[in-house]
Amino acid sequence: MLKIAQAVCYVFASLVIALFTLVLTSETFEPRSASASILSQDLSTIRIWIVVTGLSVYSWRAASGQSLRLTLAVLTVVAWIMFFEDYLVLDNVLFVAQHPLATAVQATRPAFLLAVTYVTFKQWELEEA
Amino acid sequence: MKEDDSNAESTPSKEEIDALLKDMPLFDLKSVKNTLYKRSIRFRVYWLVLMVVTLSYVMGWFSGALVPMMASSFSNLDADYQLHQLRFLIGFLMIAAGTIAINFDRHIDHMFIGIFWVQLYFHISGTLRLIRSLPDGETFSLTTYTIIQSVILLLMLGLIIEERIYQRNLYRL
Repeated sequence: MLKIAQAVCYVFASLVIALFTLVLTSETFEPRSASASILSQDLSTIRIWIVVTGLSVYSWRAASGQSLRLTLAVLTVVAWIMFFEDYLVLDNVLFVAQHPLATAVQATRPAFLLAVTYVTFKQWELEEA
Repeated sequence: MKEDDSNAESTPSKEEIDALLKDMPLFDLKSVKNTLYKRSIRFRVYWLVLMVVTLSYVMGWFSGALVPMMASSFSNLDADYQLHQLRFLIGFLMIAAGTIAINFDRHIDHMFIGIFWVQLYFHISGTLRLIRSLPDGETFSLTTYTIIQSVILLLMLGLIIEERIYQRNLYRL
């Protein structure tokens, strides 16, 4: 179960990196206004760095056998906060993506949030034991 | 049959659970005070200053003094304003979580490390939004925002360091 949850997290991270790269480079995603476009770009830039940094730190710590629970806890909290920001606030300002990659990200996001929360609790439990 | 007896012995009765929980402080302000008095003076000062800064921030928000300095005032986007409202709420929840951790004297360093990173995310994205939204030559809002956020981050970093020192000393004893 833990392996499946970890796989879901990796798949989601890959999809997000691919989507944000596309958003930042493509002209096919069009927000409602110029300022909304800047907001979309700003948040995309920050988030792509968070995902890349988080994935790098997690992979590095996992490979070097260091404690992962705190890293995972922080990443989980930030992931939930970004989800709330998107769901509660940014729904009307960000692009309504029709791209299959964007649909895939939106579809897998709930699964990712559940998976990353499960992985965090499991990791905490394993390291406490 | 024998197995059933051992199971019955290992399960505490309701009276035993009540007796164990009777003296457990749940959310008692005395516990926050007790936890703070166990920590160093620096920890207490950082915590106090953090609360004062937060209170000032709250007062600034409700009085409307902070609104002209926010990205939404320059970008004229509702989303910017709503984003700040949401982050303000999350900030309150984080303070509550930190206070609860102090009250129970458990996982204080972990809690504040989590809060620190979330606050850093708010700081970086907020600063970036201001830089992108501000008209040319307007630096007061950016400077004020950066200073307030940096002070909060530094105070939390101080709390984490002090808590780590306290835990290390406790472990040595």
